[in-house]
Amino acid sequence: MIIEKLHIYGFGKHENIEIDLKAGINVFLGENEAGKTSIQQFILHILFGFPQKNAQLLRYEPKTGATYGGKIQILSTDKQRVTIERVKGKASGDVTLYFEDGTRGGEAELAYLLHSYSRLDFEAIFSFSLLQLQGFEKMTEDELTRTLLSSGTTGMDTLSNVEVQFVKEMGELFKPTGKKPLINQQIEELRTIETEWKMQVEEVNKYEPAIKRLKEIEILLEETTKQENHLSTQLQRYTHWKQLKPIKEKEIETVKSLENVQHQSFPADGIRRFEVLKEKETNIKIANEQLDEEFQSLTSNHDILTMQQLESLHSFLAYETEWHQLKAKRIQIEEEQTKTLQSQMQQLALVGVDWEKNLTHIIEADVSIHQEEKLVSLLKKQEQLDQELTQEGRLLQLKKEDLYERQKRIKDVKRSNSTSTAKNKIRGIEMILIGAILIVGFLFSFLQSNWKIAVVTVGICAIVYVGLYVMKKAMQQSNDVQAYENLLMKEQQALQEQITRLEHAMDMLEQEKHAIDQNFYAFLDSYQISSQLSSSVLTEMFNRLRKIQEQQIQLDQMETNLYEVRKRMLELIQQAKNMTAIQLVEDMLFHQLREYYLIEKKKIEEHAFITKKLEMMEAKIKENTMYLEATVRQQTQLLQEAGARTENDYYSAFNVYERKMSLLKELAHLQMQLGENDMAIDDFEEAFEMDTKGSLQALQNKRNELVEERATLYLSAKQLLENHTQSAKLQLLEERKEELLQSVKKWAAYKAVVEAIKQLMLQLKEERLPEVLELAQRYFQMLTSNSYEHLVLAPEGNFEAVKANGQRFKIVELSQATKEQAYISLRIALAISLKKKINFPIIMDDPFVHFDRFRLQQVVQLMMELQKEHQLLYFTCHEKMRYEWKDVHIVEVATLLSGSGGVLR
Amino acid sequence: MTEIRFLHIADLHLDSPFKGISAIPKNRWQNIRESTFEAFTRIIEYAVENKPDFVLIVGDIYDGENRSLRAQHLFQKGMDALQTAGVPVFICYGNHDHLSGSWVRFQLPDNVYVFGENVETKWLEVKGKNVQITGFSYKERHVREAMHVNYPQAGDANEFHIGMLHGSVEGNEEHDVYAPFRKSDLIGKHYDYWALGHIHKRQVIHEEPPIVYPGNTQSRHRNEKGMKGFYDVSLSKEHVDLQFISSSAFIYDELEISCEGIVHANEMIQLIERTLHEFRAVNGSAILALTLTHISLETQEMIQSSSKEEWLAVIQESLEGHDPFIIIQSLNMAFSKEETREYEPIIELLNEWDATEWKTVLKDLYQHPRGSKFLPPIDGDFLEETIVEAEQLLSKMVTRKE
Repeated sequence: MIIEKLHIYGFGKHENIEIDLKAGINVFLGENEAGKTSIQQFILHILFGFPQKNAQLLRYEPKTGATYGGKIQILSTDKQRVTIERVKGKASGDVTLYFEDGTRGGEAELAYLLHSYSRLDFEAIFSFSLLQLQGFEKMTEDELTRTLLSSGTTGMDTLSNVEVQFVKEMGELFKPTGKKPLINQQIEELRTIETEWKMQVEEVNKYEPAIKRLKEIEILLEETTKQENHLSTQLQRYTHWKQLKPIKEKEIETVKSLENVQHQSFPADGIRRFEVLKEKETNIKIANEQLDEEFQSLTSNHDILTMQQLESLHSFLAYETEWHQLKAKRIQIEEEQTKTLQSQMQQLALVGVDWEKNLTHIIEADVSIHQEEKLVSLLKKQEQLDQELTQEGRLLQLKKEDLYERQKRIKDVKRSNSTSTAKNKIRGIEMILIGAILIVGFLFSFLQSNWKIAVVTVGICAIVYVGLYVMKKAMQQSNDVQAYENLLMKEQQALQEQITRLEHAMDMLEQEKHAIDQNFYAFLDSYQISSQLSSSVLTEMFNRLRKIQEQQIQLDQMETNLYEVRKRMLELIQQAKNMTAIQLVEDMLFHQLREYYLIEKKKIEEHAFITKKLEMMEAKIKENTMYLEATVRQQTQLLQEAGARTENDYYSAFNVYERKMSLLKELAHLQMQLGENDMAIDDFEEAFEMDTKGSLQALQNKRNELVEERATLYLSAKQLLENHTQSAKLQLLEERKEELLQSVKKWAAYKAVVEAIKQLMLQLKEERLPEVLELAQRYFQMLTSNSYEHLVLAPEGNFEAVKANGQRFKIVELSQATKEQAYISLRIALAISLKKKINFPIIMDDPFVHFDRFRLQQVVQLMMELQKEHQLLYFTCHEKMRYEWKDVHIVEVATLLSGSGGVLR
Repeated sequence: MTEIRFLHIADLHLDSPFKGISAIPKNRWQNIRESTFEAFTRIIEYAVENKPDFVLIVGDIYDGENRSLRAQHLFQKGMDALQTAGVPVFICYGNHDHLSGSWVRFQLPDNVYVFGENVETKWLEVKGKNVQITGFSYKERHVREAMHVNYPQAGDANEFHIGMLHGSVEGNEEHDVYAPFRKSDLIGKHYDYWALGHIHKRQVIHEEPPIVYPGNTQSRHRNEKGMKGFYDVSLSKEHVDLQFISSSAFIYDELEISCEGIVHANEMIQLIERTLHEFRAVNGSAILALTLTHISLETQEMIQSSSKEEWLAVIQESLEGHDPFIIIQSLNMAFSKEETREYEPIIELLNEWDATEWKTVLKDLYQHPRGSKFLPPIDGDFLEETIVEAEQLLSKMVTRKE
């Protein structure tokens, strides 16, 4: 097929342009933006239709408002000239074919012309550019292989994409070991639902046991109710029994108590009666006691004097005068006695006798004149002796003075001697003195820490020694007075002897005097006279003593008289006492007696009256006693009636009787309460209530449980009957199964397509590949000037270029230009391989830009060969390309004038 | 001329799911699920209202061994209702509800006569005529013997002889063969009526005497198209009148709508709505597989501007809220096959594959241990559908490429 003419009505920037094309190579030359691509697209659009509005491809509708579309005149394979016009109409445009014979055609005819090639098919084989090659580089070898293989076959270019896409889709639908993909998920869900459904089906199995159990429960409930009723009745009876039980117990108790008191009888109104009697008894007793007391008092208090006694008393009263006389006499004597005693006391005092002690001695003392003379002589002798003594004393005094004189003289003589004799003595003193002074001095100096004191002390010692030495010398001079001294001593001894004699005489006198004194004192002593009394008063005193003794005799006489008087008085008193029963006082004796007499006299008169009264009382007492006896008898009778021995018994008996009565009353009451009820105390056990209630409770619990179970079962059975879940689950299961089926269908479709594509590929590989490869290899050799010998398929399925030396290169390992050469070789080979069937123009968009001059020549050469079979439309922006071609039709795109419709060369 | 009237019912399949559709709208779930019950209820209502002399139920009351309690409960209630109405019922159980299943047995009222596992003849008197009814119940899932041989020959010509047989014609390949028989076998028994069950498709195998499959009472699968129900039979020695009574709660059907002259979307929606409305008026509730035909390129362009799912959603939406309901289960578009060139070799190849080849191709999925039991069998239907799917997928791919 050859495109002869393009007529663009309006397409992209082009408007109303006509371009004539030739068979063979047509080069479209133009700068960028000149509109090369628009022309390229125009051809494709007219042949294959405008793109859908939503498609990715540009529609190139003119902005100027010119008619969208245009026409292409072609010379078909079977040499028919056809003009294809496509203008705006439906989405892909309205197409009209104008045949030479004037007939027209539409899409169907066009499809026929184009061998039903789609635009994609066309592009895959007959249109190539480096743009495709860019992807080519990125493609994996496998994909490249596929692309090359599928290119230009039957839209396999797309299908290889489809395969990839579908494999991906399949993966999203299902993976044998996956979880996420849809089918895997659906299967899992189905499994879950199925399990749930099966569980529901299992549920159904519960129905029959539930129904069975319900029937059982009905029977059990009936039984339970029966038992419950029975127990309730029992319990009711029990409750009644329990209510009556205490009464019954009391009844029994009462009867028992009654047994103890049953025998007891008691007089009617016994207590009152007894007490009345008792009171009476007491009253009588009290009355009697009073009477007795009175009686006693009357009888005992009046022991009266006999008439004789009274008489003697009366006669005794005649002694009253004598009594008074005696009394007076006694007083008189007593007065005299007192006077004499006083006088005697005075005398005694005068004598100086302690009369109290010595009165007796005084009274007994011999106050005779003889005695008086003896005393006087004594006194005289005493006086004489005193005088002699005084005389002798005076003589002695003289002698003593003489002696003293002599002694004095001797002493003077002796004084001179005595110093020498004292010499040795002094020497000893001297040494001691010196020693003492030394010691004191040193001590002192030591204490004072003063050596000067020590020195002074030594000095003092020396002085003392010297002094004493002088003294000794002096004493030695007295030895010549010694003789004189001895003389004196003799005289002195004589004197001494005289004195001694005198003294001895004096002693004799003294002794004599003492003897006299002794007698004197003894004498005085015998009179109890203080010896201090002077001898001058002694005579006087002797007189006094004599007087005292006289007075004593008087006193003794008075005493005797007084005794007589007193004795008589006592006799009278005694007599009076004997006659009277009263306490008598001496002073009032007769006064008392007189009164006593009068009283006694009166008493005797009263006594007669009392005696009469007593008789009356006695009678009364007797009467009372009888009454008392009667009362006691009555009491005894009451006691007997009550069977009591003592009063306490009687009262106890009453209590017992009363208890009996109350018991009887109580019993009657209890029996009334018990009424007709026939019951025994041991009808029920205490535990019965608990047990029964327990059993009842147990039964109730059981029944509740049963009722509850019944309700539950009934409900669950009902639910089972009305359960939609089972069928719902089943329906769900079916629905999901259907969903799964849809997915499976889809997956199966994908899977089948993928599989089919693989099979087709295989088919292609085996049938058409060798042919294409052969051709491609030839072109590759040619393009690479035989530096590569082979373009082969490696066993793994990818292409390899083999150099002349046998080195193998993978496509990616080739240089850019070589890679392009390989690609172009393959594409051209593909196109050529189809030439027998279809020889569409080949559209090239500058695919040789990277070729060096040499390679370019090679490819140009190839193109020149190719153009014999195919029309070539070569689009380029490289001016130099113009010169690479020989005898080619060149279209300068930039110079195409709109509206010209002209043809430019 | 004595004429007896009875209902011939079979294959209730109570409480069985509707199979083969997906994406049922939530608000229609209940209708779909309850459909077998609704059909049953309609039958009972019909029987109570019309008071036939008796009712025959020829097997497969329940679906499968795992019959639900509810199904049995409702069936029992239905029977109770018939008892109240004084209608005797003769039941034989089929392969789906055979006697050896271990399910709870409900006490059926005494107007119901159930055949045992051995062929037996029950009789009842109708209008002074003795009616002999012979039948048997499946004692187990599979009864492959020709049970008809045990059916007695019709004796007294004065009596009515009716055979109840749940089974299929020998050599029928569509269904599992149970209690197989040949038409001639049955004719040879000289019965007045053969009440058959098992085959869900309604068909009269023979006219004289009538040998009849009433079909099932409710479509339960998208393969079970059209109206479903039972026969109200008026039978005399001279004449038989078969009156088909629909009991379908809804039907399943396929519907084609020509899109000729349709350019705009609203036109199309209106067209579809109108068509469906008409359909509903005639058939009541339905689940439909819709196919749009006669699609011009322009129309196709319009249609393809939205996805199939969108179209489906729009149509479904317009149907909502109507009763009787219509559910569009699938929407197919019969586009003109213009550009088949590219993938034609593939489709050709797919069509060339035989079953073995398909199994190899699909082994990845079909060897999946967990899922295999849920997968559809690789049969003619499936492959046909798969190839259509493949075509569509390819077509879409190619369209997308442009």
